[in-house]
Amino acid sequence: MTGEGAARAASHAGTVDTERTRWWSGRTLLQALETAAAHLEAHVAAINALNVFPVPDGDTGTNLFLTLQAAVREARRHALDGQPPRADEVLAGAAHGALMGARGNSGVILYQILAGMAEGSQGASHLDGHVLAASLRRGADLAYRAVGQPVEGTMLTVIREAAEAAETAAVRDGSVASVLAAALDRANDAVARTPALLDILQQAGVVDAGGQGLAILLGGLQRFVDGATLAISPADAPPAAAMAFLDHLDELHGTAEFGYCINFLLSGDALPVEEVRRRIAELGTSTVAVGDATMLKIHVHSDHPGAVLELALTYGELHQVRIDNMTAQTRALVEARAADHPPVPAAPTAAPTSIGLVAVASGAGLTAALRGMGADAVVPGGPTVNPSTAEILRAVEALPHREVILLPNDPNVIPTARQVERLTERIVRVVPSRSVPEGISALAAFNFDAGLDENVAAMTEALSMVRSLALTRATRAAEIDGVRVRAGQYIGLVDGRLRAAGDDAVSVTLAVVTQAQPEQAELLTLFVGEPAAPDLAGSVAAAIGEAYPHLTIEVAAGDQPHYDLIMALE
Amino acid sequence: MGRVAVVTDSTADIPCELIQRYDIHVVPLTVHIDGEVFEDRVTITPEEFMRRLPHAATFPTTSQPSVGRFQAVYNGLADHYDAIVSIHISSRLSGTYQSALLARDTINGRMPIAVIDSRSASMGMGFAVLRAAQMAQAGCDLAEIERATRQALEATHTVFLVDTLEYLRRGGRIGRAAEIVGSILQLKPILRLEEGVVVPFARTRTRPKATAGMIALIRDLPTIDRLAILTTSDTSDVERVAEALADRCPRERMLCCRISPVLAAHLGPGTLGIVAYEGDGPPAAEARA
Repeated sequence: MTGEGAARAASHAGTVDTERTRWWSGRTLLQALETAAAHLEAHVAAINALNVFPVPDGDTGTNLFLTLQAAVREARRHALDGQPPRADEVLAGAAHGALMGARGNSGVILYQILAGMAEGSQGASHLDGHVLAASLRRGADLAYRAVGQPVEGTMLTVIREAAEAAETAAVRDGSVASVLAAALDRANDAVARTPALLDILQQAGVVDAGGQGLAILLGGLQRFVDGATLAISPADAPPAAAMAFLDHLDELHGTAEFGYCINFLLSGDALPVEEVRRRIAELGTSTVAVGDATMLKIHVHSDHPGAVLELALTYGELHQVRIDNMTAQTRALVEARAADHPPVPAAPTAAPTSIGLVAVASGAGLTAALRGMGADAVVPGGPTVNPSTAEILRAVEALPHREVILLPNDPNVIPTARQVERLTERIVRVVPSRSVPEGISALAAFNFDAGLDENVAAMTEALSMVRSLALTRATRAAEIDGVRVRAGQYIGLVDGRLRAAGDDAVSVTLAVVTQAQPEQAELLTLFVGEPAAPDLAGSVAAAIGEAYPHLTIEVAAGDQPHYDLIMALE
Repeated sequence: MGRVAVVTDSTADIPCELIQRYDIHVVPLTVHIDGEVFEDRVTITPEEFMRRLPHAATFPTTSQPSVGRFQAVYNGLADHYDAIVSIHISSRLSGTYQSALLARDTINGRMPIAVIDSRSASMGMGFAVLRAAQMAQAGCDLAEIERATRQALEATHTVFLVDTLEYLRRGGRIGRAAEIVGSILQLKPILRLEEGVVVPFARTRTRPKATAGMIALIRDLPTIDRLAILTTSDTSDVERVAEALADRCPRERMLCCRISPVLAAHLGPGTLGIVAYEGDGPPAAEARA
């Protein structure tokens, strides 16, 4: 990692201005957040290594960094729009960016914290120690409230303790520097105590990765106070991953569209989202209004763009207004299509009442398997690369279905999938599959005749009808649940838990199959991953077939990264 | 009031003793396997056909009865009956109904003949045929029998699983289930006959789950008067299905039927079906209203 070196080079050694220590303007806050993001980036690998299980899995460091990066970019974009930005505006922008860019469980919690901080700082043009303490407190509260069953020894503990220390410090001294220092100190303490609170961390000999990431983020803010100014790479990627999907709405336009396609951002303090959506929808067709109470991205087709914009102006400010003449576009599109393809009957469009199915997986084979089982779209992503909220949202919005069922296929993707439920006008339900085998079991339970609720219930029930097994290599040495493993050894997992380790892939696989009650199953599906040796699947199938002759064994290409085998036993 | 003859075709899968008891007239379809032609259930039994099917060099094909065959049957019945109700396999699965219609039109005037498209197959129409035959024996007239037959068809539900979709696909009878073809994973899909075509119900992956899914689907019906459990070859699941549904339908009201060679040629070995008949009344139209 060259991040640290670059960081040092970019810092203004010794020039600590008072604005850094006493209070932060919106512009300063933005710099501080960006410095924190760059600082976090330098620690991504270290945080990723804090995995409970020594498996290539849930990269907390990557997820936190990508989420914070999306937050900073959106805050910066937001700030560019107006006059010198206010602190509360910067945090609102950051919260919004984190909402759309959230990846993994930790990313969603970071979003909750930033959303709470945006709320807690409302009305503050500058961020001083008091505002910082109040906003951290609000952030902690919101994060706790958002989690169904809060678990101590995680990011939640760290943000709560940091907020408590900040509040205490703010009483004595209202400068940003002293409040932040107190918060950081306590955060580091809390991180060190996470193994005492969570047994699984103790066993694995690690501290909580999310908590550590949060402390490093605060540490990055501290570095800013100390005089460092770090930069993250400019947003060369499409303008803020946030809402990028809307740029592709054109692809959804039919060839019979006329009038004007109107796109803009509407910002305000407390936008009545439903009301705005409803009133805009009255003025046109194909209305999409996505976002939150501080910013909405609006897309609508209408013959009267002026009326739409005037209505929006009664709620707040307009940004990035774009109006396209679809009549002209349609003409061009039809001509272009006619040139490309001879006219063919339209693709069978789904009945508006049918249900769309969206799954998450990586690997061409797993993707094909999920599609063959009925998934209408597969979002790339999996154990090591968690898709962002915006990426899943985009897949949902691209489907013709009004109702959509999401299969996250990874425990760490479930929280982001749940965010999508409230970001779209589609009716989205999450069936919380924790693995591709669970996702396939759920798809097998999909009933062509049933409605959304009945299908969600049946598919959720089906999650428990399959055991998910996996074979991979240990990323480090560990001893968990009585299984001792050296770095690089084969390890076998049953439903995400480490169950066997050894040097021989076949015997480790046989060992996990044996532990998953194969006598009650009848079908074992092996998905062969990228790292698997060419003869692995054959040897494993032969060994299991001999040990459990009643099992039907099915071998399919999975092409998933990192995992030699992913197996479904049902 | 005159006597009404009841005619169906060999795909109704009604057990022999019931055919005899109710005086049902069965017109056979034909099945072609390895260059030989057989009359369904006449010159080849389901058991014999299933013995040959796995070893067939090519996929077997089937054909509807000729118009002449129907004419001969209808003409033969004219000496003893005053009217005919002729109930046949879904016109979307076979041309049998068309043959029967043509035969009726060419002998037009000799006697009234009601030709009914069951929009079903096997015992999915078999229960309606039995209902028609009972009413005919009770001396009901053609209009009453026709109405009751249509009600019985509405009150019958057919669900089945196939071991492989290959037979349905090759035979061109796959219907809307075409959308579940192409999975790289093993499927034991649950299918239904709906509006006379095969439609998918679920992409089940194992036989026990598919069997359980079919049982659950049947159990959801408000009433069950009679049941038929259908098989092509493997009868090992029959007892399990019967046992699981015994509390909804007494054993003596269950039939175990072998699927005819003509249907089996399009379903393949290992097919298991359940047909539920909800009962004679109240009329479906009233139940829906």
